[in-house]
Amino acid sequence: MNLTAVTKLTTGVPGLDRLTHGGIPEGRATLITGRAGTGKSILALQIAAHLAAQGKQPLVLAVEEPPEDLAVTGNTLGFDLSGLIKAGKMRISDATRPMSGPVVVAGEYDLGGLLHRIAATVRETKARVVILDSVTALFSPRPPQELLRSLFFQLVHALREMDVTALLLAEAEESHGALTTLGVEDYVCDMVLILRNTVDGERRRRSIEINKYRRSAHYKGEYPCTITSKGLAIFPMAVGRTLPSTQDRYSSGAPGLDTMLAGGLFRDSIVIVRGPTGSGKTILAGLYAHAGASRGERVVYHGFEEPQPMLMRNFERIGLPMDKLYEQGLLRVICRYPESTGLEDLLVMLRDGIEEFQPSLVVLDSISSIEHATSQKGFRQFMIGVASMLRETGRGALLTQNVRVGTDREAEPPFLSTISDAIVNLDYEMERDTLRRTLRVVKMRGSEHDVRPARLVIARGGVRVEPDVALASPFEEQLASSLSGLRVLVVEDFADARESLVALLTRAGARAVAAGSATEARQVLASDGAPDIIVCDVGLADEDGYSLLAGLRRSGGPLARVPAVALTAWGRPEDRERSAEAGFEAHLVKPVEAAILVSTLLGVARTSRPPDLSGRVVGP
Amino acid sequence: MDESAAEGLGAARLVLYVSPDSHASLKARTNLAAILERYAPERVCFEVCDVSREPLRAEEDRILYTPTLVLKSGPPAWIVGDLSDHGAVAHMLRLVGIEETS
Repeated sequence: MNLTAVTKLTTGVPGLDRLTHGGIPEGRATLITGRAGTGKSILALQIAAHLAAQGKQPLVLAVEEPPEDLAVTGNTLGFDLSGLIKAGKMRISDATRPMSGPVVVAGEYDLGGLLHRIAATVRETKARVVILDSVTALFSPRPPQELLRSLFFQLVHALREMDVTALLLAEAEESHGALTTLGVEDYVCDMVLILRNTVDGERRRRSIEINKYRRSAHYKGEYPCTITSKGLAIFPMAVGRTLPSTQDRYSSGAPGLDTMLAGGLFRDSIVIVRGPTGSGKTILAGLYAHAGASRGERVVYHGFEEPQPMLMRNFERIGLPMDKLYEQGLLRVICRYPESTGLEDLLVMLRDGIEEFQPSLVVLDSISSIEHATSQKGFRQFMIGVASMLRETGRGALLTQNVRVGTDREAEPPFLSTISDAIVNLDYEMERDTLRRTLRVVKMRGSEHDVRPARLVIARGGVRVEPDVALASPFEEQLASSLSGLRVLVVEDFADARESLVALLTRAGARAVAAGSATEARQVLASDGAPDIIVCDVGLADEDGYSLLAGLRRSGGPLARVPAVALTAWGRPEDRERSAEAGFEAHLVKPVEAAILVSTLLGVARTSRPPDLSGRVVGP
Repeated sequence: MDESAAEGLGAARLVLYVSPDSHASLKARTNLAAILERYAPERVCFEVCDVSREPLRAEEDRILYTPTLVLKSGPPAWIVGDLSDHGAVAHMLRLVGIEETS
């Protein structure tokens, strides 16, 4: 058996070359199967047009419908088959059976007529690709099984002899039953593609599956696809890049935020802005769009939450006039409710928008309204589809996401944090009579960033992000080196909490090391040795903080004596007792104020190591 | 002899498309020869066409399968297969008013 790599021909069908790791097998037969109306001919014609442009001189045998009808189908989808035929780049041969008189079958026969015709055309046009639409029609009425099998083998064998790449279309009776009506085709084909078109509830769902690909890796399972005005498009999993492709930066549009981002967002990056309703997500999205368009970039803003006039009015009110940018053709605003559009159609709309308008920035406000309009699986598929589309086309995007106040943000679907390059959290609280909006950059892939919370100030005539006054108090200056040189191990399983804790300790001059679980904590302790202090969350995922610490205390080594502070959401007396029993020196209840944390750490450290830290007292 | 002339003489024009190295094509030639013996030679004008040599002709006559017998005079008709069913040819010729002589 020949195990050398299969050479492939690209199909040019969005997504398909990724699923197939490069296209269809060259010089071999590929079977496209599916029920009537699944788009087999469309897929085949789309591939034909692509290969025609590549100089492969595809020859299409129209068995089922006249060549003119096939050409019209292709032209309607923008494949310009007539143009390609005229230019001598492809050919559609009439292989329909005569309709003008009776065709009687009397005895055995073979495919000699068709095969010699194909061979002659292949010689004449130098065709490298032969498409047969369809084999089902070719064998209709259906000959006895034995003859059918031998005819099909004859067909595939002859095409192999001609050294052409073959695409054979075959009809299936059921979506998930036998692959083909004839039941023999898949044996001799190197690749089998199944197209499906099922009705799920009231919605139509199209999918494609690579059922078989001899000697080649491929993506398995069904992938959503859709037929657009430009043919078939498939939405495979995003093979995520870890970093935005460039180091170029551009402004987020929010004054002050760029500083926090150490110079702005990366070009081509995907940003998620999340926060509760009213925290200013749409405002940030508006700033992003406005800044982009004002720089002369094209921006597409998809609003899923409110009608366009309302959205524009709201932007106007906060000093973001969009009308001019809109008139200049730099900004396109598309508002619609996702409930009224299927998700595949929405993906198509986004893709078409990207292709036609060629924006460099895309805003989706908000993805939560999509989440609510579908199942968890549907949302995941959609988001992965969006991300892969953005990655493929290299666009920057800002997505807003609704979270409830005080939501456990770690509980959100992990794929969202996988697809994003940066995450900005918004929140608010009531301060006397005014709403105090806060903003925090919790993630910025590939860059330094300021993790401190800032204020989002929305005032007449503008929006700005400024350092949080409450935190930039004299305390901040005192904090600066209060824990200088202290080595702290932070054990906390919530990434946000862990990051902000590490940031706070670092600002206070400590050298903080973080662990996300009890297991990881033990590994860090084993490799780094004993720290000066341990700050430990109680409710860890793998094991609770009590048992982690009790174990260390029992170990008898240097770790048994490291002072430790429990940090937990539980503040009941019995919780404090348990902490003490486990061997914690102090018990702090979340959320803990920076000043209290620092003073507690100092206090605990001092009792065990008085000489090092004497004379340094901060906090209340 | 062109089509109208053939019809004028009351002769049926038949073309048997065959491909080389085809068992069924070989059988069809034998079968057809046997069948046509029962007809007056001047009433049936018969020709064999090798699709490998004349693919364009095969295309014009919309030949997919071999052997295929095509009636070229009168209303068009096709018979696909090795003609082991003799009755099919008789039926086809009857369409243009030609009957067996014996």
